[in-house]
Amino acid sequence: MPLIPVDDQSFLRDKFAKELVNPVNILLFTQHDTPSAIPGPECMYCKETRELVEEISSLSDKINLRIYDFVADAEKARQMGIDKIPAITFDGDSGGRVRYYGIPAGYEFPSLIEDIIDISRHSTGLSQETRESLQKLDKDVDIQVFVTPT
Amino acid sequence: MFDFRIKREETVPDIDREAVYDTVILGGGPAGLAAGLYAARAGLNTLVVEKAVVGGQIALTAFIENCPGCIEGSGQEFIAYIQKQATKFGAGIAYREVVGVDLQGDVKTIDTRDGKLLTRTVIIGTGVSSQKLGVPGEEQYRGKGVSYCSTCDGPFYKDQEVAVVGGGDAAVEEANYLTRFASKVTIIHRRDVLRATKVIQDRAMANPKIEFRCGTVVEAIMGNHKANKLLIRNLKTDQKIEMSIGGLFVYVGMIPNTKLFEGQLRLSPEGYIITDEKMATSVPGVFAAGDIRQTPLRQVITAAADGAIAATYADRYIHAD
Ligand SMILES: Cc1cc2nc3c(=O)[nH]c(=O)nc-3n(C[C@H](O)[C@H](O)[C@H](O)COP(=O)(O)OP(=O)(O)OC[C@H]3O[C@@H](n4cnc5c(N)ncnc54)[C@H](O)[C@@H]3O)c2cc1C
Repeated sequence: MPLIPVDDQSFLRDKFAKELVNPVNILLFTQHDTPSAIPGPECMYCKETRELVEEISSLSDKINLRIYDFVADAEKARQMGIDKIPAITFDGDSGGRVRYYGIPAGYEFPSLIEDIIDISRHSTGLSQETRESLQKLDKDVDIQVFVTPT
Repeated sequence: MFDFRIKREETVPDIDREAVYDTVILGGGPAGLAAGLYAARAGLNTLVVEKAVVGGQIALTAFIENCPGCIEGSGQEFIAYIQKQATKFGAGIAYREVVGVDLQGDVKTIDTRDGKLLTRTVIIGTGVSSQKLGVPGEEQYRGKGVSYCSTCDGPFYKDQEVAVVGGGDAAVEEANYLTRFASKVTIIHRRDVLRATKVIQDRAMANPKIEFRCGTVVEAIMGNHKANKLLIRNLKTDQKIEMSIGGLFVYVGMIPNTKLFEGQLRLSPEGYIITDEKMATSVPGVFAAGDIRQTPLRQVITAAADGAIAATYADRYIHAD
């Protein structure tokens, strides 16, 4: 049984065909599926997250998937700023700045899809006006947003 | 276990600004979605406008046990089905906040901030919002220890002691739910006896993590960067004491979301919309359904039933001429 329902898969295949421009490389940081052989805590939902990104990448030639082991590829994880797993990030322009920790299910799933498209198009939903005013920032700002449905 | 569906209805351009809709439904709770389903199925050009998430208050509670057809208390699933049915028949869903309405005349105007919508009939299903306690500290600590939604915020209080204010179904039911996370839940209620339905009360009484402080009111919420103390007063003895808390959940009733309609529709003294049994309001072509209405029971099933009636009579209104 695929994780993404079959009719959503064909919808996504069409959407990707229409909207993707440049290739997108998804980097997944995970842990091998043999927790007993590898010391350390077992990674919850790593397996499901891997299956999910495998399915997503199978829906377009423009989407490539690279899977890294959080322990064996620790240096790569550090480079991309990944400190927990499962983590999904992208290389290229957005290099390591867009990161999904945990499994992107429910409401997170459509956002992941939109992010893949934005990354491929080198675009975001920000208006020219917003970009200009952001350019005026003269020091680093750390924004963290926490949401609940209310 | 996980949901990896693409909500396609959300990704298509949603509003036709040129059209005069047959019906525009304000609010995507049980009332609005049921109205959308009936209206679209009757062949009306239908749009549901929702400012937050479809499902309305159901999206904010973990249990719906009494709604016929919601097996094992899953309100979300029930809502997903109605939404699917409504969109299948062609109802559009637009995620916008309605910020103004002009309900007079044959063509009514709905303002969604980013533009206007025209429609021949309007079905109002904007529901109710949580009533505030109205005590010092409440605004300051809102979202910082003061919450109105245990489903949303309960998990933040793992192994902490929390208080719930209120004595109705919502308060007691949510107190039960909070015991999944909190080490102790104190229900603070101004009256001596709870108002909640007996099955819900019995469950709370049998729950070793729940304590009751009846005949008691919260006078103030205190803390530093986060709320950590309540000032409570016993109404009989007038004795005031401070009580340490990890968090406070407020369930003291609801207020109708009818600000937009003041001066345009007949409202009850409490602000609920007055309708006849066809859900018609005081203005022709404008209907109301669900919790927003002056009605003896505010539940999922009655809201959905109202929606069905409202849509049916919106259809008759349109086809009367
Ligand atoms: C904690 C809790 C537990 C409950 N438990 C049960 C239960 O077990 N069984 C049961 O049957 N009922 C229960 N209820 C009650 C039930 O949820 C409501 O009766 C029902 O949701 C009412 O439906 P409605 O569509 O009338 O309004 P709502 O569900 O309130 O929906 C109104 C919708 O309108 C939207 N809206 C408001 N203003 C605007 C605007 N200006 N523009 C656009 N959209 C707007 C809101 O975002 C909301 O989605 C519970 C309620 C709560 C709060």
